[in-house]
Amino acid sequence: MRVLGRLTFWAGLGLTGPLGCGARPPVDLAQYPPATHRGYALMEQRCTRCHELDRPLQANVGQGGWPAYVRRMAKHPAAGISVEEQREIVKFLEAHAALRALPVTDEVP
Amino acid sequence: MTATLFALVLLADLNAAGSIYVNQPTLISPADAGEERALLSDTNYGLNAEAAFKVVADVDDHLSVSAKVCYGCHGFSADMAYFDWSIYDALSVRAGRFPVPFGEFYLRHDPANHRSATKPLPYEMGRMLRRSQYNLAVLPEPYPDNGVELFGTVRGELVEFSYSAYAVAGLKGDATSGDLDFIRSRTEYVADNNRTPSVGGRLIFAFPNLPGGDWRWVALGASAMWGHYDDDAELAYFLGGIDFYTRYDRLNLRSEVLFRRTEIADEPARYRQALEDLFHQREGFYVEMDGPLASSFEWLARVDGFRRSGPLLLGSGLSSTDSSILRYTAGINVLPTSGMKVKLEYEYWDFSEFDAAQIIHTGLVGTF
Repeated sequence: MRVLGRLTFWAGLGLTGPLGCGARPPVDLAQYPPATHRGYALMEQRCTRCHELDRPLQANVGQGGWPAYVRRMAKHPAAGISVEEQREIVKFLEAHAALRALPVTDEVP
Repeated sequence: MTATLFALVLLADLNAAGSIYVNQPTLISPADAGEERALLSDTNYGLNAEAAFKVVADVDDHLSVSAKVCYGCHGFSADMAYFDWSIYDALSVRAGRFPVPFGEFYLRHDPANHRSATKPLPYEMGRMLRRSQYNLAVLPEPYPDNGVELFGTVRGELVEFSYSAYAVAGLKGDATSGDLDFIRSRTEYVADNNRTPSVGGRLIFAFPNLPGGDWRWVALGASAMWGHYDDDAELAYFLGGIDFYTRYDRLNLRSEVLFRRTEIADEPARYRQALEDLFHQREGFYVEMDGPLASSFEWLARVDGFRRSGPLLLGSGLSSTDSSILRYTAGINVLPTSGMKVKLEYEYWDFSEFDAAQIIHTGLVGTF
């Protein structure tokens, strides 16, 4: 019975394996203003040292709250995010938050 | 303090985040029921889960308040309840209950943040094989404690220097057990068991903008902590460690070496051996590499180890005064959708005084 339970757990998780093949949508930079692209590149370089990009991309931060959010992260020891880089990252995250706030539509323009 | 923190949180914009981790350990080396129980301990015996919920409020440009609750082996516990007062980038003050900044791993102790299904051996907690026999390893993470910390970062063109200096209540233990008691350290969370704070610090030199090429950055750190663990403040412990991080393109390489020397009382009747040195020592290391594997997979490989040397108590589950473990880990993670990760990990445990063991961890972590 114990082995059966374990196998069931494994099988359940195993089913998520095929979902991994190309299922994870990367950020489509084409939807973002070119001025924000450097901020995304910096996030990929800096933030992923400690955590996945999902953490900031999922974060619900109020309007005007991103500078404080990024500044707080940059205070982690050896975060490697300069003041100028913080501004670039904030630019991207503000653009990302604005895109998330748009209503979802299936219409093709 | 808690009321003040909650009042500040209610007055400011909130930012909530958290994670949930479910893990199924499967021992694949042959072992009878009794041996299986000794290997896995209660916390690692079957399906286990942990969760964390964090709320942060940025009150203004200089003040933020953080609170985090964790659910795991020890039930619910407060992992964070502190405020940060940032005077300059080079000087901030943190006070309350916070993760003690020792080593590099403490920032990544959440299962959503470290890539492996288990923690590096020196920092492992409930998923350490033969946990009870060794009384864990060097410094089980997370290690939150009450106190005050000064920290900051000074940035130059090429190098970034970060520091931290703190005084905390410190790890607790009983003189008769001759070692730290991590359950006591965690559950007696209001007041220190002795009147002497533990002190420590951490220094890091980081080179986050290496010129040219794919070699992105290098960081070197050193940590130390000292204090007394017994109620009478007569027995001291000292923790020291160095850590290294580098990144080539999207490949991460992390490594740490750390040790703990723990003094014991001069009570020969409690020990199997004649007491020559009044301390025992624990050393640990890990070297870990990870990187992406196609768009929705990542891989990791790790070698880590732990060694305990020193006299043994009469009831100890160990037989040698010099006992060690080497572990080899390989893992693949699947990232099926944003905020979710499936961890599949194989571990080979090579004990100096027990038969080797093999285990597979299957984990599912979700973040929000």
